[in-house]
Amino acid sequence: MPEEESQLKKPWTRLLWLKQDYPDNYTDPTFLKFMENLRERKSKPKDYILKKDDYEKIRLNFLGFYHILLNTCFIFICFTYIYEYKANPVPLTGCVSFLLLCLSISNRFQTNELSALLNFKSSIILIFIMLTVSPILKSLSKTTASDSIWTLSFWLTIFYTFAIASTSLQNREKKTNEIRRPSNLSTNILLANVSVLASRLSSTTDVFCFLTLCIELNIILPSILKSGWNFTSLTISNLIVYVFLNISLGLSYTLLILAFSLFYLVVLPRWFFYWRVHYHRDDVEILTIWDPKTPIVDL
Amino acid sequence: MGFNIAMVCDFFFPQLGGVEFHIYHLAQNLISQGHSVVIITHQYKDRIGVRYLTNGLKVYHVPFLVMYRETTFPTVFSTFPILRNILIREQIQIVHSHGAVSTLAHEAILHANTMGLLTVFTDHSLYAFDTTGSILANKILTFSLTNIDRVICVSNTCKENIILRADLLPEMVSVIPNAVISEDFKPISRDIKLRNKNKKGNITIVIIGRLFPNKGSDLLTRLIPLICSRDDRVNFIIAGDGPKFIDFQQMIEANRLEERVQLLGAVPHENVRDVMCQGDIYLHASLTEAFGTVLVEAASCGLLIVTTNVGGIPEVLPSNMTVFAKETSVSALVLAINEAIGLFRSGHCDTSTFHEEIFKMYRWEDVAKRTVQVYEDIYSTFSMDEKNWIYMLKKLYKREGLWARHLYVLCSIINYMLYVIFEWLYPRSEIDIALKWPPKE
Repeated sequence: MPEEESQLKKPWTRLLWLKQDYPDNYTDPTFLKFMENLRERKSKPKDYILKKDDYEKIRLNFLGFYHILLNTCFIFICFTYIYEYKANPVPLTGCVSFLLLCLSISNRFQTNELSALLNFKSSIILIFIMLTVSPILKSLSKTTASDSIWTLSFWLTIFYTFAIASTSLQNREKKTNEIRRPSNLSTNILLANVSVLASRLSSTTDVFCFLTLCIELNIILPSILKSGWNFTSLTISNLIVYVFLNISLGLSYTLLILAFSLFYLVVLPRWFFYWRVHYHRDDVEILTIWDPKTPIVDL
Repeated sequence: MGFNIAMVCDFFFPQLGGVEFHIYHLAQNLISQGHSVVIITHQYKDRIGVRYLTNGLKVYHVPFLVMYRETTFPTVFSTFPILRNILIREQIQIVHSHGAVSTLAHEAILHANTMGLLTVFTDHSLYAFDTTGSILANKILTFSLTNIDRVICVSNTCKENIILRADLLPEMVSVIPNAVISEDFKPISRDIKLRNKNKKGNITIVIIGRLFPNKGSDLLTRLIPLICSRDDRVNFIIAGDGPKFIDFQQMIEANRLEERVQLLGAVPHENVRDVMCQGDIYLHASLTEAFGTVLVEAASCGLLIVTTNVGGIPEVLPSNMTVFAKETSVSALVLAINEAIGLFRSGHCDTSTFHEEIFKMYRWEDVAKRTVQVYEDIYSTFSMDEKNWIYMLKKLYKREGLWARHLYVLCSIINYMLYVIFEWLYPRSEIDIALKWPPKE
């Protein structure tokens, strides 16, 4: 009798070394239950934990990257201002430096005085170093053709954008209160980019001013504005960038770029949110059973 | 009547490893049971064309472009003409592919299905679900396993992993473990072992394996100095090479353990047994493992096993041969090692019976018999409708993922068209049938 047989049969155990009276394609009943749960979880309408807060987070991350792009634009705005329009960069550099000084002095009341003093000292040292290296930078890649310089600068800019985005957006994720400081990698790429471009400028003063402006706008200013992208700074950045685009490229290009930016800022976050809700597998967390375990070094 | 079987995998001799040995031993045992087996792999340096191994095991080393870590460049279709030729020439009935990361194995399944042959796939490892590489690999696996006749896994854990990765029906997957050649892993007698030791109570711990992070190298480099400092009658032998080799060297130098820890580097497979036999305890700190053949080999040599409890490892050996660490931490492994040393010194651990026990548990003859059982199952229940092109397309179209399933269907349709073109350009009737190696009397 098959029923009696099944009663006599020993229950299946999850062991490979034991010869068991079960076919090779027998499946662990606990796993079948696990699969059933998984299927139920999938078929159920997802109780979206992803709600307004998450959307807000996604939107802020997109905005953060946009802000980084705007900041990067300043390198080229400064460069075009000096190179294309042959303008005297000294007044602009003076203005920006003065503004930064005011901002940092106002910050000094909030932060530690000692660190502000140290910052001041290191800035003086930096300025002297820059004065020394400006003529060298100017002649460094003088013999290279301009086309090569533009290509090199293009790639360096792309690397810079991603390097700075990966660190600053990560810092936001961690919600650290410390001042947003760009990583060494991104700073180095920025300096490489600036020194490559500097060789196209005509005088040492231009090179010095260009270097100073780029460092001030891309490194010092973002670290002073702790919160990074508050409303005022974002508006001012946008205004400067689009006005400059309008002057240099004309209205049609500016409108095109504006349309792209709006698409990026308004449509893409919603699209991404939609994707997270509808396509993202939410059972990945349960499926970590098969991942390699992490070594715990506790002694 | 025996089957005509083609084993397809990117990884085979002269490269050595778990998958390679599995294919070789399985093929040898299938041959000795009266089946005809050919192996299809890519070329290895000047090893190109047809080669014969022991007992007339025929190996086709096909010249394919190798991309990364001995895996051929994935083109989906370019392997079709030559594979079709080989499969017809050898009158193959069953195509048995091995290894989820082998491109050749996946392409062979696709082409064999197109040609209406039976297909079997064996998986040897565990994969994650949420890394970019594994998502891609799982998509490819889903594609090639949609119309497979049977999948074989080396452990229950491995089976469950592949069911979820490729969305398979549980009854489609059989579990057939690896095995060891018992004669190659014999223990040396206890007297010789004791004579080799200068002091009684001395314990030697053996570690064999590639020195990679996923094999727990970081845990090992921390725990060896700890064990050595706490017990001066414990020594280590480490065999294997890999990116973490230098960490072991540094660990030895920093802690001045030159006299207590032997770092052998890579050891040829035929010498593994000699290394194992110098020890009393085998230590395995792996962070992921589908089966862990090395554990069975070590136990067969009469070593007590101390291991992490990950993947398929808990299924492999009976409790009297193993001491498990509760988690993948240094402290848990140290506790487990101390327990094993305690067992040894108190004389509660008798390893002399291990070899006999393992011999009864894991034999290639059994593996081959169970594999033949799988072949017979699918052969007896097979109907031509299952290899109907429309039927297979329908199954592909029912897969998850909007983009993926359309791509699957597209690839299959192109493959069917290619098949029709090949049948017209190079008709079957013009392909010579290969002579079979005469079976042993």
